[in-house]
Amino acid sequence: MDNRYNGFKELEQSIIDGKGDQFSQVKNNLQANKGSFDFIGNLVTLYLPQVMEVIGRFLGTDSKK
Amino acid sequence: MINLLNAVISGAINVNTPDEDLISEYLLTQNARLFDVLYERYSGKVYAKCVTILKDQDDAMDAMQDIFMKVLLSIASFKGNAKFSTWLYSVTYNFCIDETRRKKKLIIEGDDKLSQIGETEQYVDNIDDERLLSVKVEHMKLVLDDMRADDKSLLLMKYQDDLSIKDICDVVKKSESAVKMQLLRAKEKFIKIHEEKFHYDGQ
Repeated sequence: MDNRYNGFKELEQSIIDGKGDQFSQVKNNLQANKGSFDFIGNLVTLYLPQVMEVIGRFLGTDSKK
Repeated sequence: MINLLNAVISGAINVNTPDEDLISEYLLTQNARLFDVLYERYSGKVYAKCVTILKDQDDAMDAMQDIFMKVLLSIASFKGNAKFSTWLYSVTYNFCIDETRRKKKLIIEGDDKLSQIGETEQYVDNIDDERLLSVKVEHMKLVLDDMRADDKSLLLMKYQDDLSIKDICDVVKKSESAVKMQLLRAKEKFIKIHEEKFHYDGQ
């Protein structure tokens, strides 16, 4: 890429420089949110088969009737 | 084969480690530190796009968080057909354009002016890129602030991200001719606003 002046890239850099290290807060929020999603996912993975089994038994009992 | 996770832990990841390698390793290990590297690389660029399009720092910060969350949750669907940066920018631009539409921030007045340009001008791109690239940073921001979100996004894709026309087509999901047409209109609009605001005489 050539080294000619590019106002678009200069604008981008000036915005980034002006924000400093304020992006770390967003990173922490992301990790917290991802942690919540993972937790819910784990709960579903852990208990969903049992819930399905209970529902299956319930429906099975009903069908015998 | 290099174990990227160990490389991250030992601090051996450098600027040359491809994004796609980081993603592959992240998908295998789910280690957040690998995603952090991607975040460090692109958070500034994503934020800059958000604030340029949304014109509000708080909205831009919220948008950036939503965009990275979206990417984090859908990263498994990244196929590697395009570069990760192109994929990320695609999510970013589409998110911001949707956001401006949602908040009805599109400048309706701009639509009419663009329509007039389309009716009277030949669709021949004879605008020198140098004319756009040479605009001062402080003027650039004010000119872009007066443009529609979708038009300025096209200019950012081409001149800030160096995306090819084909990549831009993939991002905006339009044909090549439609993209070239809209890009030409966006350039004309940019120059018109710049001339009106700063009485540019080419010197």
